[in-house]
Amino acid sequence: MIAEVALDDTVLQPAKCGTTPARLLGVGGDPSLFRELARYVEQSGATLERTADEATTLQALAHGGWDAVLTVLDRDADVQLEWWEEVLPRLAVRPRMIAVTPAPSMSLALRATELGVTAVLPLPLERDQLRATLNRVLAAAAETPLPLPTVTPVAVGPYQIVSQSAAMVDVYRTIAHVAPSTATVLIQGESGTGKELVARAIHAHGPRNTRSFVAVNCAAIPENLLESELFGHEKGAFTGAVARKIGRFERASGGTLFLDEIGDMSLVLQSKILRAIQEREVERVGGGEAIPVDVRVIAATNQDLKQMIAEGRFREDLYYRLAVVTIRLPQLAARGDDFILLTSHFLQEFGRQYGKRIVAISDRASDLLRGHTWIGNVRELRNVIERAVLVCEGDVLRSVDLPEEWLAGATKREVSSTGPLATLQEAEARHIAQVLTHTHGQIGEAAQILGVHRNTLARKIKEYHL
Amino acid sequence: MNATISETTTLRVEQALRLLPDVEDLRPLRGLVVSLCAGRKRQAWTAAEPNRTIGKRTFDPSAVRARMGKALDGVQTRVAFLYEAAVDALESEQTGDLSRAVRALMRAGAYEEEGVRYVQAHAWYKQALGLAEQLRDRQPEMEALCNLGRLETARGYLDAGARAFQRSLALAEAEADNAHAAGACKGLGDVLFAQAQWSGAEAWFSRGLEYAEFNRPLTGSLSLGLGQIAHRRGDYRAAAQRLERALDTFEALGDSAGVVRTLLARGVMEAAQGRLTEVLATYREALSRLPVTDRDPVLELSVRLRLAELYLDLGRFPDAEDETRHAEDVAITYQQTRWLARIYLIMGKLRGRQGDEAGFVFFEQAIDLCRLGEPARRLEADVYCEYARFRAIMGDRDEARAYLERARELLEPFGDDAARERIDEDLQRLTQ
Repeated sequence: MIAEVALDDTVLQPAKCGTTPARLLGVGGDPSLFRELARYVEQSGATLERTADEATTLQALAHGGWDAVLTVLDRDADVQLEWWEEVLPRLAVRPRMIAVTPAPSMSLALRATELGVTAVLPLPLERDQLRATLNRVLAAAAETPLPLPTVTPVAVGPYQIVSQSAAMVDVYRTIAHVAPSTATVLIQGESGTGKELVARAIHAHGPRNTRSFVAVNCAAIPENLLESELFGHEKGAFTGAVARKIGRFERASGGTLFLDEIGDMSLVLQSKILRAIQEREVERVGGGEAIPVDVRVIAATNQDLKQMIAEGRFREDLYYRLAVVTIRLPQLAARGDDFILLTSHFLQEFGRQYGKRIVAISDRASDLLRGHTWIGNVRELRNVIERAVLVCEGDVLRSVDLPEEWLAGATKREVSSTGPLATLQEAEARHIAQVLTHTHGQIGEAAQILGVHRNTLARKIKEYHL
Repeated sequence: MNATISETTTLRVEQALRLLPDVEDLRPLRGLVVSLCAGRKRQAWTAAEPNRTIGKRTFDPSAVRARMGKALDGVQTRVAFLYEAAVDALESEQTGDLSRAVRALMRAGAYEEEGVRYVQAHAWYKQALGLAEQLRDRQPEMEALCNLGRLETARGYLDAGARAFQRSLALAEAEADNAHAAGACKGLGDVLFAQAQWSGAEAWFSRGLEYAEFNRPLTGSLSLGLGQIAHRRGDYRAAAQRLERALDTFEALGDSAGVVRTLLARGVMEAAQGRLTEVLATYREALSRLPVTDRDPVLELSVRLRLAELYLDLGRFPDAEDETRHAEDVAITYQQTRWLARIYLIMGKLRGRQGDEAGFVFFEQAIDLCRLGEPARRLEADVYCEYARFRAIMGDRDEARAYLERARELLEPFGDDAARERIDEDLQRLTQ
């Protein structure tokens, strides 16, 4: 079916999902080309409606409700792209876009991609290619947006802790208990569980919080540099020592020194650390003078130090010096509701950083995130969200924004039951959103399906920002 | 008790490089260790992972043993080639064919130059030049001088490079040898371009173009040079025309390396004009035009690093990191240690932009790599300059100053006044 869009409000309906065919808005190109496109689109179970000129296009776009926009970029592609560049930022909701062009080039494809065009298809069109693209775009459009919960993080200097889970409450309690003392603390936990953040929290809530917090990652620094990094060196102490260097122990004096991944340190250096903690003094490499230092040491590791002691790879005396208090951090999978809070927090954080405003996450994207096994815990989640925000085109994070390999395997994969489960509120919000989509926004009909009073539903819609 | 290394455990590259003495005979073995180290684990999420360098990668010594035969074959091939050239030179001397002897010596030099053994290459070229100066036929001397000039320029000894090219040009003009004259003019243009002396470079490239009338590859290179200069002078229209001409020439010759170099130059110009969409497309096109059958890692690395730097300028840090890490894998596979140093320089710069103090490990690793094998002092100076900027961002002004002074010291023998002036400006800013 091909139809010209009339300037009449009644023609323009909200996006249709479920059994109603998806609606595509066609822009540019000549009618004969559109007849061909419309035939292909129809074969994909959608309809294509064409605007006659720029004015009707603008009006149609302003009304919204299109599942996707199909634009033809012909010989004046540059001018047409400029037009879209001007128009798209002014729209309240950016439509999903597909472009077809008789003269594809890398520069055109790149420019279109930067505009947010999902696919650039060359003319003459291949039916299968168009169908695959439409399926992909319409699948994304069919995802139901779920509102993001409001997050109130706890600020630790420039860093923030986001958690409401029971597993983390125990950690908070220990932090509160240990922070006022000067006891050495050993933080254990898998990679990405937030060991440095906990160390910073201990420092921030302790008596030394006006002084420096100095962090050293023992695994990242080359072995030959670690000693000079920790204890400093005098100019000319070795090749490359072009200036006198103050070590991290000295820099942390009066404050806290955080030794991350302490299990990666050589035995020689372990003994030097032990001496520095016991004697409260250090000696710069190439210097003969003992320099007094007053530091609180917090160490962290993702390794089993007791096992390492048994294998002779870690000094037992150093272990007991460090593990005066031990804090064990839970995996992300054990933090329940924290998962969605962290997702929301990172979406806001990276949204700000990359100048985007993401207000919701689609049900499918949420399922994919929950079904993933988070080996890298919070760090991995943060990384995935940062990349997703970079590629996200609208104000809803969708499954297409997540790593491609996840999408490839998702159709066959059951959502892992070991992943964090949805809260009752999330499930309710998602279900209401799905029913509203089904009723095309008709609250009365939705209330009937849900078996609640219309006013109750209206209140919930407001509460969940649906 | 120290951990014993069993046959099944791995070693870190930094352990190996510390253990093995840096002697000429072991260089291929050290290279083998680098190329055999394990790739980065995609699923590694430790806090240290983003700042891991080659030194922290692991390798299995038994794999080195297994590949030792192949490494020794490489050594034998090289020595055999050099001996062959040497004996050829001796026999030519015996028969009185000194031109042939010069060519044999230069063949050996070119072989070493290709293997980035510049000190060795220099020795062969010098020897060739000494012999060529005794000949009545001046062509071998012109060739030797051009080779020497190119090598000195590549090593960063710009004054020495210019002197060799000037001598070559004088001889070529006296002999009315247009081909050599064009080559010498291009060399002189390259030297002045490296010194940011645009007018001088333009004059040499233009003069070269006059001589290179029938030498299409050289015409392409000279047009490329002129395009780059027009860009530096802000004449974008002329630059685009020159680059287009260079591109056409390289396309017609089927010279994909030339095409890629021209696309890179175009990308740099588009970036300078703020045409970011175009520049990304241009660099991606350059990547797609890299020779497929005979992979050229150096060319590929130069494109990837340009792309990484562009992402860095655009603030697209995850993309910059991905591209740089990709380049790291290429450099490791092909034992391109100097490129690895450049890669870590960019990683350090990236960490500086991210305000991550731990990024200093990349600069330290880069400096180590510059000293690995044949010292790359010019590159080391560049690393120190960027390291100084990193330290300045982190608030360590004293260290920043010390690194700039070290860079200045390293630059001393190279005659690169523009680079020294930049350092002086940075030093002045630090003292304000």
